[in-house]
Amino acid sequence: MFQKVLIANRGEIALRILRTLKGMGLATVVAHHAVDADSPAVLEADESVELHGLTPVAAYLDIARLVEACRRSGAQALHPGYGFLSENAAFARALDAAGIVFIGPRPDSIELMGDKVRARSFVAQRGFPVAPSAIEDDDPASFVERARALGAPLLIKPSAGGGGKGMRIVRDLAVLDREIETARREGERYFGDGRLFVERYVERPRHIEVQVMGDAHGQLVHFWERECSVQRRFQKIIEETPSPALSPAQRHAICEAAAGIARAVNYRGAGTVEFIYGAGGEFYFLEMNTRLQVEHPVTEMVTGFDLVREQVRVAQGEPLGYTQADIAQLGHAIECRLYAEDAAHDFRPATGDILCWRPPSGPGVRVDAGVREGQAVSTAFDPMIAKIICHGNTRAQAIERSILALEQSVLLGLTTNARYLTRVLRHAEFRAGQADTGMLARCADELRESLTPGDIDLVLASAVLADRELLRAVHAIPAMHAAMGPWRN
Amino acid sequence: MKRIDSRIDTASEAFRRNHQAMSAIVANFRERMEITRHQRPPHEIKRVRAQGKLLVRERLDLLLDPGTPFLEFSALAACEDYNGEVPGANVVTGLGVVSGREVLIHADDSSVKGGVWYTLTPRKLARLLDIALENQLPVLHLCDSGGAFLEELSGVYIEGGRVFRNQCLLSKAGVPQIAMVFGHCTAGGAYIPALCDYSIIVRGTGGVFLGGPPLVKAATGEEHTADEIGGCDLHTQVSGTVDYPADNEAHAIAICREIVAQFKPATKSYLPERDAEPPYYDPDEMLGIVSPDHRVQFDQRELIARMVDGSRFHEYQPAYGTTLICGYAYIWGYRVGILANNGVLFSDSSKKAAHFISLCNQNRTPLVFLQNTTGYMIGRNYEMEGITKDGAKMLMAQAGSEVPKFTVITSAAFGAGYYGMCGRAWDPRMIWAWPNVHMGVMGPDQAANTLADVKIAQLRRKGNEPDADEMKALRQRVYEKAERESNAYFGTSRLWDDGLLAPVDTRNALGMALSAASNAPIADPRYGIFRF
Amino acid sequence: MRRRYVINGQAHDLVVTRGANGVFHVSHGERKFDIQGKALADGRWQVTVDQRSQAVWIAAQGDSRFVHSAATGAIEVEVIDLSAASGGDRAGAASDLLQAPMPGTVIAVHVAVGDAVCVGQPLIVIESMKLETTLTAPRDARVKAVHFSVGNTFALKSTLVTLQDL
Repeated sequence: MFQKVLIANRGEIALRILRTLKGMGLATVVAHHAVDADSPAVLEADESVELHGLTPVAAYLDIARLVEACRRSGAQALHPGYGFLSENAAFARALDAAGIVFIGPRPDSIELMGDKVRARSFVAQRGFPVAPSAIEDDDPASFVERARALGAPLLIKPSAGGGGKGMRIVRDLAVLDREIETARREGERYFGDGRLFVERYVERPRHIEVQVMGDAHGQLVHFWERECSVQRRFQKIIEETPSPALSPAQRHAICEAAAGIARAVNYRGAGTVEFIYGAGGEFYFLEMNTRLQVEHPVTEMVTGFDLVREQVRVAQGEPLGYTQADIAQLGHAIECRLYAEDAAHDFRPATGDILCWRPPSGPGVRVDAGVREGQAVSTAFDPMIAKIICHGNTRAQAIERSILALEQSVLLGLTTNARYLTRVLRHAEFRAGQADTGMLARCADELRESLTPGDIDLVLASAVLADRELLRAVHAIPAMHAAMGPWRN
Repeated sequence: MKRIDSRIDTASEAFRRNHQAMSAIVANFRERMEITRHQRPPHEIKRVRAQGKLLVRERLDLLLDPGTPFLEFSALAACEDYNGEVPGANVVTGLGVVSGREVLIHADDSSVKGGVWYTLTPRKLARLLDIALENQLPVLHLCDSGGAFLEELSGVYIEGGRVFRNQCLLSKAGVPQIAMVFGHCTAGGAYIPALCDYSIIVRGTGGVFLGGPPLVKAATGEEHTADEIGGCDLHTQVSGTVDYPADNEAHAIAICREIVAQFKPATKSYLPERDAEPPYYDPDEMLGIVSPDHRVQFDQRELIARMVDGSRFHEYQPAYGTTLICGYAYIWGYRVGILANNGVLFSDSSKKAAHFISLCNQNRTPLVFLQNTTGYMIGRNYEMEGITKDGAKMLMAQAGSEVPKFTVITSAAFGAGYYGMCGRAWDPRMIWAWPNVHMGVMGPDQAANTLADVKIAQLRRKGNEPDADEMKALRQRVYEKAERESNAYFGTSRLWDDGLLAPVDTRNALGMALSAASNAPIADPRYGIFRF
Repeated sequence: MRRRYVINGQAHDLVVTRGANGVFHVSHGERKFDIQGKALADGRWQVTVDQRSQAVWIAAQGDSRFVHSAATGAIEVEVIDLSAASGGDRAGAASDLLQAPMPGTVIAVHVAVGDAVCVGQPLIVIESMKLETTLTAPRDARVKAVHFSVGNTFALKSTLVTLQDL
């Protein structure tokens, strides 16, 4: 049993974890960089510890200091959130060595699944579906030949990459050599590792992932699937559950496969197994994320479980206490990621001060946010401001509630993708449940902003009314002259 | 205050005839204004554009606050002089609002003959500066002139001095001036920016120099460009003659607007006392009330009813001196004392005027004179009654007034009545005439007949009999000359007024004038000797 | 008054004048409309455009206004004052006369007549009271004239170099 938990993360996830810990009666410490000193999580926590680093991100990656922070604050456990050190096996080991409970999987699970090539190989050996591929390490000399033999279209991936970074699609085998060389150079440059593997590329792929949870006593269940096909630059911006792509049988097959993979590594804690799903119903193992995912709230909304609570319970050594039969999907949930970015300009990150923040509310609406009015948003961190998750009895109702919630979300001071998200939700392809990972790029023209003249008039009128200097000049005109207007003799 | 009870029958034959004729006169007036203001030979427009310049009214559009009125003075100056080739005497002057402040504007119009100065040009400018001095209004000069017209040098020489002298006195009175140099300020013209509190010059086209390139070459043999002698950089960096360099005209205007915004706020000697109210009766009806024939009488109360707020009028001495109406009204919320002729001036009307003028000075009420008179009554009985000294009393009271006076000639202004009712020489803050107006010492008929009578008497004294045809020709000649010289355009051409106004525009013109005039303090009245 | 508002990279030039009863008249090119605003209790504004009212959130920071309505979402409006210095980027932009800031001697000339120079490029080095100063080109231009050569002395404010347009 532990009484105090240190949260080694920031923003919305830090606050979300904090709330569950408080609900469980646990004391909370938030480790943070100075830049986050006024963030909601830090202000709500029982204690906070300041981290230092060359950059704000570096501060959150400082293993030694985090371990020290736990010791000094007396925290017996640490929750890493997602990103940062959540999938860093060395970190997990360092905490173990210091006698601090890492709320997450075992270090060797992290290591195995962190190496995409090893993970793939492990999964394939145990009979789970993987995309036809050519792995360089198997035989570097014949790599290119084997890659070519797979046939187009192909996807070149860096072994050390992840999160969609460094991937290249090759449709014309004539350029395969060149693309492989480029990918290798990029791999070396960005991940310090030029090793590659090549997979058959699934056209119009859909991204389906399955939430799993295992305890330290050998029990493991899945919490059904999530579909995360709406992506820009290989990053998810809308996730939902259940997936509109799957029949009950397919759902069952994918989820059982995921659970099987997780059981094969004797997985402990929360994790997500990701698959690529093709139009013909085929699915292939993509990777396993050995941490809590950003989009976990949709699973919570339809199953009624608090996944962070379950993580903590498992970390405390408790058995799951429920079986697969106890986990059902009720209704439909959609999560929209509100990003500080400019959809009109290639989604480049936006910066500015949050001058006004009014999150939406209403039936079925959940907002996970970690920002405050007055907060400055810089490019120091990932530009996610908040997650807006809406539950409905049907998918259509969840979509309607999401659109309404986004329209009611007020964030002023910097550009966000809120309107872009509503355009996606309204798009026929999404409504029909047919979005694949290429949808946003393919439908870029249709998803462009268009303001009606009436919209523009309203915005201009508002700008005028808020323009003090202009109004002062207008009021400087004497009353009689203003009433006479532009008269000429 | 009671509303005037209008007795006009808009369906009557007389009304309809008047309205038709007067509408034609007004339409003709507006057309002449349009041509004077906007019609320019295409090659001139091209030249201005090629120089990278804006036209004068484009500059005004950028300078004046949008959505505000502009009262232009003497737009038809020089319209009957110089063969009509010099529209507005090559300058635009007027009263407008810039950055919320009432200001006077002088803008050179270089789209005709390079904007050179004819004799009437500095006269129009001196008049503008007189208005500035009397009303304590800042002046913005938009300079862009080719200098004195070489064939009018002697006229410009004498008149020009008054412009610079007025600028100095304006500065002495603490009233700010700004010059924007868009083109050349040559010779005397160079003093205009030099005498201003602030000056701005446009790089490339602006130049200030006592002598331009040809003069310099003639005098010293040196060859320089205008820019080299007195361009933007020389004067803003080296000599300090001009304060602000501007990259282009819009920039210069923007700087000027910012400077005006820094002026200290105006101190008003009076304010509107009520909310403005449009006249109850339709101002357009004025065209049916006034006859184009200035000899036809009408009741000026009907005009007052179509000019003042709510058509309300408080008449003073309604039963006495009935050929002169006196009373209080409000125009755009400003209280005014109106004197309006309904015929010839007699002893009683003259005394009434003097008394009413004194009342208005006592209670600080600006005076509005609506002139329609053929003068003071003549005749033996009237002389015995003292018409001459009663007229003198009216003049004394009117001249001794300290409250602002405004004059509008609505139909006729002949004889000394024009003086008594605050004609040009008597310093009305502003004076206008309607385009149907006739004015002079005496009417054309009278002039023709009087001269013919004198001629006939002359011939008869020598023992000759006048030739009928010759007399007819003489009468005709004199009549035509007098007619031509008595019409409104003749006078406005020579700056006898501050512009012609269409009747419906009178209310707004007075409103703007009243507001502008309140920028100067009002002293206690003091009169000379009244011959009682 | 005149104002330029930029929305999504598009400029909208407005002329705003005052009407009666808190109404403002707005001219936007050929279009004219009347607007009125009323502050609401919850911090929003009720903005009326030609009789049609909507509730909006408005925030201001520097030269930006941020507006949110249910219909438009959040839009950023950049405010540009057309009456402020147009044309040159600073008041009194670059000139063509390079003047001596103090009397002195020319110790080096780096350009010749006809040379094209870019902003910041060293043109002439002068020495005065033991101070060496390098004068650079205030803008991209061509050298029209160099008025002094090495070893010459000059007075305060003498024009050392004259530039002209490229």
